[in-house]
Amino acid sequence: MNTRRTGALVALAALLFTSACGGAEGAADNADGTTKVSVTTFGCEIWNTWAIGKGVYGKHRLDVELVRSGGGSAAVAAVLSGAADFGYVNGYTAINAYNTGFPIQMVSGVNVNALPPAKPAQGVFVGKDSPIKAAADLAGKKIAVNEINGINQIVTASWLKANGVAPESVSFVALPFAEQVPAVLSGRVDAAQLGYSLLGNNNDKVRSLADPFASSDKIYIATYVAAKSFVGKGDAAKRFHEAITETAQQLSDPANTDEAFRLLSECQKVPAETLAAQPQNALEADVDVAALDRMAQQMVDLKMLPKKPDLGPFVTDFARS
Amino acid sequence: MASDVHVIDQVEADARPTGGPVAARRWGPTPDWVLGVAGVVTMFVLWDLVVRAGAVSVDSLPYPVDTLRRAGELLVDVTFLTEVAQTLWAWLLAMLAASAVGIPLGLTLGYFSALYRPSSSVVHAGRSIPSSAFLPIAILMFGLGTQMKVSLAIYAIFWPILLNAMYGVRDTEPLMLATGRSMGWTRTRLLTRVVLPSAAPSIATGLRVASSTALIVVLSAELLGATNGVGTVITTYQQAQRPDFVYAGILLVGLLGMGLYYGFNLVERLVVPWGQAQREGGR
Amino acid sequence: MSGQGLGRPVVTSALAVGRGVRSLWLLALLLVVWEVAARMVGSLFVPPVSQIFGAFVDTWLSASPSSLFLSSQFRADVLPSLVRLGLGYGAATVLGVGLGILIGVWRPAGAFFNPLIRLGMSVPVTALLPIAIVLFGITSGMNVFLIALGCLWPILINTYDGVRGIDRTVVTAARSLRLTRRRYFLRVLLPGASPAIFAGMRISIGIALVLMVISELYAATAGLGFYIVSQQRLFQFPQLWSAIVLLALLGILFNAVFALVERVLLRWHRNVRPDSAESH
Repeated sequence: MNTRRTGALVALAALLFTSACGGAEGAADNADGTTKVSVTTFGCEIWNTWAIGKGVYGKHRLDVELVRSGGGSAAVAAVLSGAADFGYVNGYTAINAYNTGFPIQMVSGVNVNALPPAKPAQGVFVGKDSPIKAAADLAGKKIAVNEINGINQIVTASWLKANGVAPESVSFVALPFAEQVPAVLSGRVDAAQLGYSLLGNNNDKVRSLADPFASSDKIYIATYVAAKSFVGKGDAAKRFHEAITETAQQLSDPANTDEAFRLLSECQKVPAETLAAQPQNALEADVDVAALDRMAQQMVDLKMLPKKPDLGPFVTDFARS
Repeated sequence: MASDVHVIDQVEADARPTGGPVAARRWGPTPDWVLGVAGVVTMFVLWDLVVRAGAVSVDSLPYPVDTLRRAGELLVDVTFLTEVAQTLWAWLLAMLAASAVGIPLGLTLGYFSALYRPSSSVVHAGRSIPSSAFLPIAILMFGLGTQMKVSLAIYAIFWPILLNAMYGVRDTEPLMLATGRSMGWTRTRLLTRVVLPSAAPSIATGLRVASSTALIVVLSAELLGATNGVGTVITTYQQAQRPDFVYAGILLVGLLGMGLYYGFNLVERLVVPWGQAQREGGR
Repeated sequence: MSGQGLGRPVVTSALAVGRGVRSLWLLALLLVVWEVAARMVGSLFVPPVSQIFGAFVDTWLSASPSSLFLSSQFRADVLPSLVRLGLGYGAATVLGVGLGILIGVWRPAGAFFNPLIRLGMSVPVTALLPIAIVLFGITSGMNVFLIALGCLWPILINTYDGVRGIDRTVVTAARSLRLTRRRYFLRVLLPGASPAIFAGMRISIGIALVLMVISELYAATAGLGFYIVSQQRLFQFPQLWSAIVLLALLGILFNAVFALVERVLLRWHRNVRPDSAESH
């Protein structure tokens, strides 16, 4: 064998390989006094487009880089590996990961369910002419959710349970959001649980049985978690929470609505008017530990957690309400 | 997977009597490319008819005309092309790293028969596991960037490369080895003069299989969650509910894979010309 | 089969054990290395092998002989997956071999389908999941379709190659013997192409297993892939790894069965992989 050539090839591959690395450094202070942090994202979150577009992160000396990742274990893995500093996960995932023993802490809440009297942001959608009229009709039916054992499934199952339907009698089917309404319309599933903002142009073709999120107490739909070691090092996590708090305040000011949707529209490639017409989840940066505790109890009731963990040490002091 | 279907090959293939005694030449000299174009056109027409007939809703599968138009728009979109470059870069890294390790290792394992059987059971175990099952672990170890995609792709293509290198060595004609030995050749000389040339076509087959698998795995990793690459563009359009762009992206990705495949064949033909005769399935 | 005495099976099984040890020691060694490394690192994502095997026994096996020592979880998640795998793989084999022979024998068909085949095999099957759901709904048909689609290309192309690669002298001889179409097909074409066909079928087994899992990530209510995602969401990594181990075992099993079938059916062919050769 021509060992010299093989050796050169190995060396080249090794070189290329190492040159491709180097994205995984932790928080580092820039020369201008800002801290570079990376935040996982699903795509376009309204608070991120706003805080970046309006310089809220910059004001809190944060130089935010958004990195796309799936939710759940991917975001937790990203945070633990240092690939990202803040992981975007829903409250249930966060509790689950913490319960498993991962060294993470919740540094900020961001989205909570829209409770009445606000317009419902979520729904259990059935076809316009479907014979299904109420939760009770869903027993034994197929319901589409975007992830198995994900937040939508937990909330829907809890809602069914509260309405006297055994969640085990229902089969949940994972479907990408974009496929859910077509699946309902073609009768491939009986219902789908998703947000109004994800209906696309199918608003008139479906109707909602109820907002399963609204029939519950406060639910943290979106939160940020960070590695324990990251929280303990410097105050970047605290500043991140403050930036989210300020963003939430600004976004709840009606004067900023148009501008917020304009920024979001640029990111999402969906017209701003369409976005403005869609009900949104509420924003809340502070974490209510009692609410989180009730969420953990829901998971215990659905047999997804063996027993309720002590969430006290999980939420950082600065993030508590 | 082996194949004789190459553009250049057709001339030679023409001369070869193929098919049975019944496959007579009544079709005359319709050039292959005309038939190929006819095939592609037929596909688009069928696609159009399926959507037009309402068998599939336009929300799920757009018209081919719209898809082609969007594909045209994407092809001149700089952002899209940058993402294509990112995907190809990950592909290249995976190919280089996997072959740098897989080929020498495969040659070694194939050469020593005591190692051959135990390693093939490891290979069969390893290649049955979809690399996407390792996604969270890959993210944990490599983050969300190029490295994660590359590591998953390496996992997926390492096995075919290794296996084909092993098979290639094992397939060396025993007679040729014996002849070499009787001529008093050293082990190195046997290796470079007999084993390597006879293993080369099989190695090339492994690399060709790996090349398409690597692209598919990189794309799947991007679809499931990564920071860059064509797959992320497709996901963005999926979330924006623009199936026309989604299918345009898929179509372009398919064309990219085709391009890589034909490119690979060309290189293989130049580097391993003797592989032609003995090319048989890539196991 | 019939009463030839008990001696033979015992000897054969002893030989099989010996062969098993000789072919599995490397795998065992790697698992030991894993165990030690995982214990040293202590990662929650990659548990030690012993823990994974504990989860494996708990999840997939049971103590009751009436269910062949398989747990209800196995019956609920693995059996549906295997049925889908079988159907998809079977469909791919029938279609791939049929179409491969057609385009191999009839040149214009080959030219007609060639670009489509290249395009088809370059498109990631995962990206076609939405359209598969539209076509087949949320049924096993969707999974079967995706598995069949992924397995089709290697079988198709290898069959095509096998048919095209039949020795020229054999074809000429067949022609001069004026064999009937049927005889030519059964005596020349099929035997000549079968090593290549088997090669394609063998690659496809690995592909089928991978796609079986991937096609269940969405739109499934049961299956091994479904189990893997749900455990991932619950951060149950030992259970997740137990499913991965099961997949690896299935891979080894299918390949062993295939090697056996190939050896029996293609005994006559000199190009058959000497997988069983003990000396070299």
